[in-house]
Amino acid sequence: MQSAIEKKELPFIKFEKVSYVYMEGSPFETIALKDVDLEIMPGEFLGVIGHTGSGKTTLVQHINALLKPTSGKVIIKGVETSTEKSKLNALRKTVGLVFQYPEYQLFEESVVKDVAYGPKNLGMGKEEIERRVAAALSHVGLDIDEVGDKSPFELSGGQKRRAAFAGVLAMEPDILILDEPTAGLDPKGRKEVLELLVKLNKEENMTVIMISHYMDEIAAVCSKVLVMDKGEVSMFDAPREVFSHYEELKSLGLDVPYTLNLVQQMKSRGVNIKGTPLTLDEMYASIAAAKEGKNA
Amino acid sequence: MGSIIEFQNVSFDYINHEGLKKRALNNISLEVDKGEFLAIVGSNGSGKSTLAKHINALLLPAEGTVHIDGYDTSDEEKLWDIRRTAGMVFQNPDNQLVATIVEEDIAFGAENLGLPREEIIKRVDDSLEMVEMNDYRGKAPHMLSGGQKQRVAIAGVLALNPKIIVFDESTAMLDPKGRREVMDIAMKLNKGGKTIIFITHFMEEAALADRVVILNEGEIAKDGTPQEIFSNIALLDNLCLDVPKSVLLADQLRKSGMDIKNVFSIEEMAEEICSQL
Repeated sequence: MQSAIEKKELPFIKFEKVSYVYMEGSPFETIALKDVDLEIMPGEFLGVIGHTGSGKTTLVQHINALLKPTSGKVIIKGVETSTEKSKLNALRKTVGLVFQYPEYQLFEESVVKDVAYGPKNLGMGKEEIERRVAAALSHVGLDIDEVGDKSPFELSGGQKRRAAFAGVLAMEPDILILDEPTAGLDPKGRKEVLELLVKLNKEENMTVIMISHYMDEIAAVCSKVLVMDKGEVSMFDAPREVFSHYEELKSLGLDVPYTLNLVQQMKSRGVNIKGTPLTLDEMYASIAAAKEGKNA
Repeated sequence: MGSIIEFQNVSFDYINHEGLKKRALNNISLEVDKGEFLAIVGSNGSGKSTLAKHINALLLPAEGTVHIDGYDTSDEEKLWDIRRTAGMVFQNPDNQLVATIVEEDIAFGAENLGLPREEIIKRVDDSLEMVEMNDYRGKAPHMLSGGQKQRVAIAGVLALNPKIIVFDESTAMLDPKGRREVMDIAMKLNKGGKTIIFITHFMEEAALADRVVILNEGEIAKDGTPQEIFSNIALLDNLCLDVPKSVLLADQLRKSGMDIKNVFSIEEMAEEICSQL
């Protein structure tokens, strides 16, 4: 038996020299992941960034064993994903994967039925299913009395997205992976989704892994950032550390948060701002400090 | 004089699943000048796409009239003239391409007009040139990035030589690079004389337009220059729209006694701040 403390120190997700090759041996052979070593601890809110085709989606699909490494090992909570099928079911319960535009996958005649689909397939009892559906809908801020019996297709865009999230949350995963969860939503919808993810991470201790193109979102919510480039890990560090590498990120075709673009523009006009401000409040403080420095 | 798009007291209702009427546009009156670049913003369900679909007669008003370059959109005989006048680029790059080769896709609409072969070839060449996709003309659309697919979709619309191009959230599903590409092309087309209607959720895109209309619950909540619209933090907050970061920062800096104007590009913002340091 492991003690609680030892358990806590074990990474939830471990990649050991993982490579993945699409269509191996064919003329279309593409190396999508190359010697990836990675350890993700429980409770982390990890942001994954990288240019289109950098291997982000291939990487996260290894975490719930949708893909298995061509070489190397992926170990999720101590279970290797290239293992026998019986263990994979447990793994898929542990890892919830929300695809891009998940609302396109809603299909049942009512919201409640759609959210219940996963737990029902696991053969859970009626009461347990009802409890999970109610909890999942309440998490995503949908009122079960108001929308529960409605067709998913009657909901607004933002509501549909959240109903799709609820379907994954009803599986009560420890690890939640989301591919571009805010893409295509209006500003209010984007904000609601981010608040939900922060809540799941902080209050439910869910480990959250989010692929996003929005650097301001990544900077605002993530505890760690993984930068992928041509199938390899290019950076893996705290957001402030990662985003301080302005030139390197630009050379990878990636953007930085608004504040750091502004810092760079000011620098090219001869004004240096100290540190790496990630939020508007930090930027404001840095500008005030620069002004004070000038006046002193 | 000069307006190419005229909405007069336009209302439109959708019928929902329960057979009930839901008002999507309520008494909209709007005129857009020839050569104008108009951005339309508003939260989901505010009526943006419904309005857009009235511009090329995909939808007809329940009440009121829509005139496009003089044509009444409810005049069925003029339907094809209207569709040729106003082209649309939609949201999902995967839903708009029909052929297996880029240049064939672009030719598709033009061929349907029954133009002579030489004219079609010329239009395809010119359109490819305009969206800078000449190097990809022989490629399969599904091998392209999202931004490139949207550029092909734009070229297909351009081959019909429309006076108006409506972008209905055409940047929503793209990565930042793809978004910039589409926005750059829209601005280039506008400089070349096209009237552009640009529907978007990204306020930094809307800030580049000549004029911005905010829709809210099927009505025009505000119509003005980007400067007027995006400087009004309370209004944007009320309508659940993003306030540009430069405006928020400028507001905070002004409170501390700095003399900072509301500007929208990062370059201008850096200029403003540096002038005060």
